[in-house]
Amino acid sequence: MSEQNNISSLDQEKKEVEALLNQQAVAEFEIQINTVPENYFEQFSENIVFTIQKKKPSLLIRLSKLSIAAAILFLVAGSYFIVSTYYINNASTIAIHEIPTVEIDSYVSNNEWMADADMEMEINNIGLNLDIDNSSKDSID
Amino acid sequence: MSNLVSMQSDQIIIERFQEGAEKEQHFTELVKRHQQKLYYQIKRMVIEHADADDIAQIVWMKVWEKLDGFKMESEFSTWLFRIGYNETINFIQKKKKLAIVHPTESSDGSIQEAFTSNGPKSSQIQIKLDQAIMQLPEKQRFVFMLRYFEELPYEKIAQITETSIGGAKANFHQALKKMQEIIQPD
Repeated sequence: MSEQNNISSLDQEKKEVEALLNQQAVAEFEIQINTVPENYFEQFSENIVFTIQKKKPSLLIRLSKLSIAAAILFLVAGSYFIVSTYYINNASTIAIHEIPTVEIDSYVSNNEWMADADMEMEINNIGLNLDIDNSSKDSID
Repeated sequence: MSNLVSMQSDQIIIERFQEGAEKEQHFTELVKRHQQKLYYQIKRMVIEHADADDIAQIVWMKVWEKLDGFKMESEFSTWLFRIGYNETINFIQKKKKLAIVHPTESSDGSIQEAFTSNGPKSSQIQIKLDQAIMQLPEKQRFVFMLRYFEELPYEKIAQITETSIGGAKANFHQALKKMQEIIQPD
């Protein structure tokens, strides 16, 4: 039904155009449009496929790109591994018996006030907890 | 019916293309089927063969790039003509911009010239028709060509030009009216 409508409206429109435009001129226009170089369409599809193949990177190029990417990744990962291993191996570790007593004494005396503060904090915490425990007991009673 | 068969066949070719084997072969088949209609429609817009050839190549390259993602929600020919429409409009607009920057190198005048230089046989009526067509805005010109020469239904024209059916009809009638004003000014 809609196809019939389309055909009838197309016919009507064609009549309108034909009434307006000189048919010979329209025909000449179409001849001008339809004039193409010899074998143009025969060669067009071949040309376009040729262009596509030229643009498309070959398997070798794609593989080489992949191998370059893999090599860069390998280099980065490898160097990271080597550097981190080097640092681990060369890290200076000293046993406690190797430290001179003088040095330990000086460290303790320098940090004594910190140790005192830590201790005080611990005592306060315990005291607080005791208070809480006591208050909870009171409330139960 | 024949249209349905053609659509199914296009669909089968596209499915095979999308499967990945012998892509070039399936693509060549599609080009062979649709190249002429596309080329003629483009040439009606730009007139010069070299320009039409350039645009057609760009269109087919885009089809190659995007065919894997084509979901077959519309007919292939509609999709193809939509790419053709966009690329043709882009080309004409670029040429116009170039004409503003370099008025002597390239201009819409070259199209005008191509229209009017049909050789000694060109009649005054022919020249007048060419000029009338030339003076239409690109969209109206495209719609007019699709309707009058390709005899496409408005539904398809609307899909190609990404407009409503009413909009496509209006474009055709505006084109006709404008040509009437140019050809019969009185």
